Amino acid sequence: MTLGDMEFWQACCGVIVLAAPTALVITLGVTSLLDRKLSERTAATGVMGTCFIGVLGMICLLAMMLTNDQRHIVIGPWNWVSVGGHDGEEAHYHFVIKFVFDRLSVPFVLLSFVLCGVIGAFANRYMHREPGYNRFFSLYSIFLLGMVVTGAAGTIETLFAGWELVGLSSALLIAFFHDRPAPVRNGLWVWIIYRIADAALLLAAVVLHHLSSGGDFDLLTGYRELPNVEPIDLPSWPFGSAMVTTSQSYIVGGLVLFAAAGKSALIPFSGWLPRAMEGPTPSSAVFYGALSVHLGAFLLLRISPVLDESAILSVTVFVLGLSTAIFAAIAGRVQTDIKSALSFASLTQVGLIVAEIGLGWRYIPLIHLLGHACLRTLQFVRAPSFLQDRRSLENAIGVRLSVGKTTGSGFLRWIYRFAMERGYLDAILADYIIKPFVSLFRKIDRFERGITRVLAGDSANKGNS
Amino acid sequence: MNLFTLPWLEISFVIPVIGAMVLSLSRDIDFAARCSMVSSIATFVSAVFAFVASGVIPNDQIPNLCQDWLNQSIFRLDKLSGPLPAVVALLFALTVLATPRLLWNRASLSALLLVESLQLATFSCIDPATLVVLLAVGVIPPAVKLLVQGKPARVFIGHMLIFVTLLFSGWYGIVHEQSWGVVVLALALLLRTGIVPGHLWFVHLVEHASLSTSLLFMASLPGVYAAIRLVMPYATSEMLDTLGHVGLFTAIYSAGLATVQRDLRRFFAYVFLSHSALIIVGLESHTPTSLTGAMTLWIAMAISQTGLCLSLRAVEARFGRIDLSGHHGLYSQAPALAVGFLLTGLASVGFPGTLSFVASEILIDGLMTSDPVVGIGLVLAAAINGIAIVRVYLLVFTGKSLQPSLNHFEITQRERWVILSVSAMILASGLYPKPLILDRHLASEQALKNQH
Repeated sequence: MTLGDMEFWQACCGVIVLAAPTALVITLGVTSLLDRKLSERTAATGVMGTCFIGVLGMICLLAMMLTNDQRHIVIGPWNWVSVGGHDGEEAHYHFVIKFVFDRLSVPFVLLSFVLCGVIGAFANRYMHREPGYNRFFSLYSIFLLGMVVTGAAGTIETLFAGWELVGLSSALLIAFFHDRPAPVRNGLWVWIIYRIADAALLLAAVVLHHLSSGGDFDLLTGYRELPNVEPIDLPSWPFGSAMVTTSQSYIVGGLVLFAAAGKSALIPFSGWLPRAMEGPTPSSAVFYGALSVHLGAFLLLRISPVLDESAILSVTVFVLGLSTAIFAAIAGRVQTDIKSALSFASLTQVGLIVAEIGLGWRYIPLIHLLGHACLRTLQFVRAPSFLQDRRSLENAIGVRLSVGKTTGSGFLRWIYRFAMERGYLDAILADYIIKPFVSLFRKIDRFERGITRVLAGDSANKGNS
Repeated sequence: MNLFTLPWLEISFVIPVIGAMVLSLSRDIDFAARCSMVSSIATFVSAVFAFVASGVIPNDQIPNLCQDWLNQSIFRLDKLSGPLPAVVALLFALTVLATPRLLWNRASLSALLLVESLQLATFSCIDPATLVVLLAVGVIPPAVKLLVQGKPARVFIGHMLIFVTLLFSGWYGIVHEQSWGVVVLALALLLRTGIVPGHLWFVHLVEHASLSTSLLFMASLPGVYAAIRLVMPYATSEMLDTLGHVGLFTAIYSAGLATVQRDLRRFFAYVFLSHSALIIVGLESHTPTSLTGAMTLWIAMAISQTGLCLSLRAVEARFGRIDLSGHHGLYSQAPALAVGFLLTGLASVGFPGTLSFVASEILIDGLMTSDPVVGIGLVLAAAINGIAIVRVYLLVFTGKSLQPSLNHFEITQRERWVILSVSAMILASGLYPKPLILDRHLASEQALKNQH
């Protein structure tokens, strides 16, 4: 490749887009570990500068793609790890890192940079003189890196790495105000849900690795360079057909759907989303209004050819999305604080996006996702000013705004109670999964302590100081 | 003369012994501490040179004093043991460097150096009979320490007596070509590795002995090393399958127990047991991929668990034994410790960017080919361990701090450098794991070739 090659400049732009958030994480992380915390201005400038560079890189890349009529740019692949493959033998295992810029990843990564930059600017003021300012931006930078890696991932393992970074930063930011018990408790709850969902994604990655695709999304969807075929005619997203059988698609699709449900708070995991509102408003805006909550939908869009392979899978996605939307619409009606109300409003839209994916649409849910992310971010950052906005409006129109009355009996009352309890989803998870698990292992722990006391005799009590 | 033609392996055995002798002659505790630090670092450097020499110069040019004096090669680095003595020396060096001043004690430091020499010999021993003896001798130091300190020792000594009995019986059976020999030997090594139900001794040891004693006795997993050297060559496929399933049960069982613990030390014990069991699982499918994953995970785990333990030790040195019934809010007192704890904890559960991540991926991939149920179980164990780690982090470091706000318990410069070093190793090996994985793959091939 030479300087004159378009491929060279595209690769440069792609690398810059990935390297910028990586450098930010390293800078903020190392300075924190060395206890040389950056000033507020430096940290904020770093975040916004990174986002600006990322946006610039993406715009240049997009311009080049449009100019050259390209729909699919690959950065890599790099054979990061291989087992075997020395002395001429075939490698038993490959771990390939690859990034793809196509019709799905380009708008999503661009959105990530834009919103992260905007919220970064907002957070610079919102978090001013907050004791955990540096901690906030360190976690924020990890989130940004995770979003970019997930959005541009060309293999499921690469996507998984970004996915985990987003999950960790999300849970720790929910527990940001760690002097209070509620944020910490809710942060742990969210982490538990993420962990279970991520296990499903890891299994999907391993299963895909064993199928013909080796974890590569291009191979999974039948995209490969063919002689005498122009790149524009190759089946890049959303076109392509899954290189798996119907039964294989059940396994892969089912696991991915489970993971997506956890990340996007679809039923039965919807309970974690309002809990996540304990975090600072900037993180609530960018995570649960804009980006993180849409990751599940993004993942479903990425593997959409697998969904097309099975009607049952598509119907399941549709039903899950629609039921989530209905549930969230009902629950959102009775919330008593603005962030919880917005979280359910956000979930309603996410449910609809997922339902659209289940119907077999591709561009509509993507456009829906992009638009919703922008609108919800605005609403979230205005949330702290909600009461002031309301009073300003009332002053302007001269009358109090009506809150409406809820009357009724029987079914309506039941629905109201159902909505107030947020569908009893958390209670069901707690009562039927978490409590039995904890109870069982606490009993085993008591049993083991008893056995140890018997084996140790009296000396255990003497020495235990 | 080529630098690598010196007998670095034997030098690494001798340096800790000399260091122990020198520091025991001095009454100055500061001198003793510095002496132990210098000795442990010098031992580590020596072990690294030995490892590098084993890779760059032919075997017949590497000095072998045992071969010269006893006409028998007892201690040598081969593909299997290559980096292991260096890893062991690293664990000891990190432990010594991170020892808080409060815990400096001439006798303990001296004993630590002697134990280091013993462990280095164990991990570079290629003669099975000598290895059996070294494993048996290796259980003495923690027992002596428990007895000297007046701590409850019955559980530990009882289990180790059973271990030594099974060890010698099993080896006797193998030498006399009895089929039960390898079964008995495998039982001994499962006990030594803390596989359920033979794990109570380790939990008890962690609770009552010092954290460094427990860590150094187990972190390098001599039981796993012995299993690969002594059991795998003779084990049948069915036996290895059973080993794998037992390991998987231990991994999930211990992970579950780790999530409900109310004592910080017991939490660490169960998290450690869960991870060490994963390595036993990797021996099951006896394919190059899973064995490579298990051997890589072994090194990743040793480093990350050491980092985790040292973070916990630093917390205890400042705040005493931690009860996990409520929140302690220690982040405001020691933020760097909190970050170190979280980083090493996540590194041990295979978080992306760390060596455990790629090792787990390789291991799970290898297992899914031979036994998908075990692969799924492994993923479940990792998920539960991740929950346990973050739960404890939130309990220890978040919440309202009860300590006076004027008191500052931030880590010392030595501890900071240890945490930074561990973090750097975890991340560097996670981002560029190729050389280590290639080395472990060659080790796995040798282990499979040794199978009869």
